[in-house]
Amino acid sequence: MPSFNHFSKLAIMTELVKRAPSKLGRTGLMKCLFFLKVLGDVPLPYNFRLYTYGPFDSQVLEDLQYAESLEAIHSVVVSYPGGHGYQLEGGPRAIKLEERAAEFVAKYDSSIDWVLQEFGSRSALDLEMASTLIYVDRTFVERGSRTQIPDLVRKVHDVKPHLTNDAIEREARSLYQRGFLRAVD
Amino acid sequence: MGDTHKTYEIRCPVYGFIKLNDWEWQIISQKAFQRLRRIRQLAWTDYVFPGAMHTRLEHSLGVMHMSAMLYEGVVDRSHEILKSELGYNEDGLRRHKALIRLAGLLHDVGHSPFSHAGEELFPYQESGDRYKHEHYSAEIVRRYFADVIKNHPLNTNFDFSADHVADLLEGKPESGNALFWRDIISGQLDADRMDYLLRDSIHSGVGYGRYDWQRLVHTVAAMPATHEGGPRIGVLEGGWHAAEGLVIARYFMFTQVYFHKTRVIFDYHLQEALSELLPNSCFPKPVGEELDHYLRWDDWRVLGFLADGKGGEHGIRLAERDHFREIIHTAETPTAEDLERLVKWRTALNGLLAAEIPAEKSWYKTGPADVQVLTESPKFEVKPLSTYSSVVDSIKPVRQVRLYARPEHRNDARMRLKNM
Repeated sequence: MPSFNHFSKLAIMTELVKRAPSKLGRTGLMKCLFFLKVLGDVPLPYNFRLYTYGPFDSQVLEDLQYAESLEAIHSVVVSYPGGHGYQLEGGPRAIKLEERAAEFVAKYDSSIDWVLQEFGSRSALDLEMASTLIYVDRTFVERGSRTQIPDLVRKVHDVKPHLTNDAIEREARSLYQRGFLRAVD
Repeated sequence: MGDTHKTYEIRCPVYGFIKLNDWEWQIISQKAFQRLRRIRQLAWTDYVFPGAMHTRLEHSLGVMHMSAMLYEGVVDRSHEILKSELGYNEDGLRRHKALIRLAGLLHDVGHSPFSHAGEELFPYQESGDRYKHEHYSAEIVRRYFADVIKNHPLNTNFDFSADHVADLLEGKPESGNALFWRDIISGQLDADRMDYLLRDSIHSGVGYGRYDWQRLVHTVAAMPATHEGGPRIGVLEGGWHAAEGLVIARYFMFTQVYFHKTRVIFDYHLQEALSELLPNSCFPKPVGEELDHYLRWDDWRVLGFLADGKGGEHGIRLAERDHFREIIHTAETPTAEDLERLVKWRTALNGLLAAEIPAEKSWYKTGPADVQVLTESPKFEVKPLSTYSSVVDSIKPVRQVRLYARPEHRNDARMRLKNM
């Protein structure tokens, strides 16, 4: 299997940005990479850890900065209720990066499409909730233990008390029905 | 146990004095903590900057101190958000302050000899990812600090176990809303980075690495949840220049000290020497009895082996300061064309290329520059620092790659590149 190098992870990142059905922000990109690694089994060299705002690895943002400096990704400041953030789009030299990592992009082509189909249209807050549920679910899997949706919802609510139990439960049931939760009976 | 209400002060070159309560004093008196006296903060950096002989112990005390200042700063300015979005009451805030201090104090107890320089020799987990020093820290806390954390009288009102501290260090969901404070332990505005920049700057004797930390402590605050995600720690608008100063300090310390061409090649020599010294060329895992064996590794033990002439070629190079020499390096932020040129250099140096050190693999990263800034005028809004600061907006990650040859091949190697 080819290993990830300078270009391949940046190329995967660029593909996510370019193919997303609605423009990704930084949070959206972070969570899509998490889904790609955990649900899509793409061996990305990121080490996601849980924060109040969901799974996060600062290396993703550093790689994004590098992709921007290579002009493979371009970011635009946008305003939204309560603040400003960045929207990402393909840059003028994205194609150069893809050429250098063509083998990788081809290998994970369907995984990228699948993740974007499942999650690419959702808001940053939704992605944060879904990724936290999956992260917590996988901690049960790692320990070899099982859980049920109410327990999973309680744990996620403990981490993210600003979300309602109802909203977390709706998301948990949706993820369960789609087969994304492995520790839930 | 001594007088449980006694407090202690320890002198610190950064903050003047660091104050501890008896609980924290008993923790630092544990053998597993005192081991940090025998682990230098910056490995062999003193071969380039002779003053850089400081240890993980003083940094750990500094992180505890800085964590508490940041915590108090956020609480002072963000009571409403902490209550409404994170469910805190006064007791909860007092309780988590004690927890954050312990997490700051113990976050580095898992370091290998010579700090990060040894981490390339950590074994792999079943998942295929390499263990990190945080895994070791968490397991050491659970195993060696359980009694002193659980049973100290000052814990009576908190009822903390070692798991509370270890879970927070590892970012486990069991930490609940305490995970909000993880930004202080490991985030863009964390006490770890804020302390080591100041401390490493002082000990290295460089003029870089300084920034207005007092201003940051007095402007740090909780950012409310926005369209872009849940609550997190950032700064009020009045602190954005101080935050910008921190980003610039990181950049300079990285380029001038942490990724110094001679400093990083000593990390390489150490890794190679350790590879000779360690059974199976890797450290024991942070599980079961292996953790006991791991804790026996510190700088003193490695230096003893090197003094006995062990550690192979690289051990001798360390002992004699006979390091590989840099032949060429890429731009700080290489373009795609620069990376293509790098491939050609490698080919040209065939047989003479002794080591290649990429900045990307360095533990001391410049890191993503952005933090969140809360503005109150004309309305409450959260914006990235890069929308305020043109410096932060244009700063690029350092991805420099350095190529090295043996001293005896230096001239030949340079000639080959010159003739390309």
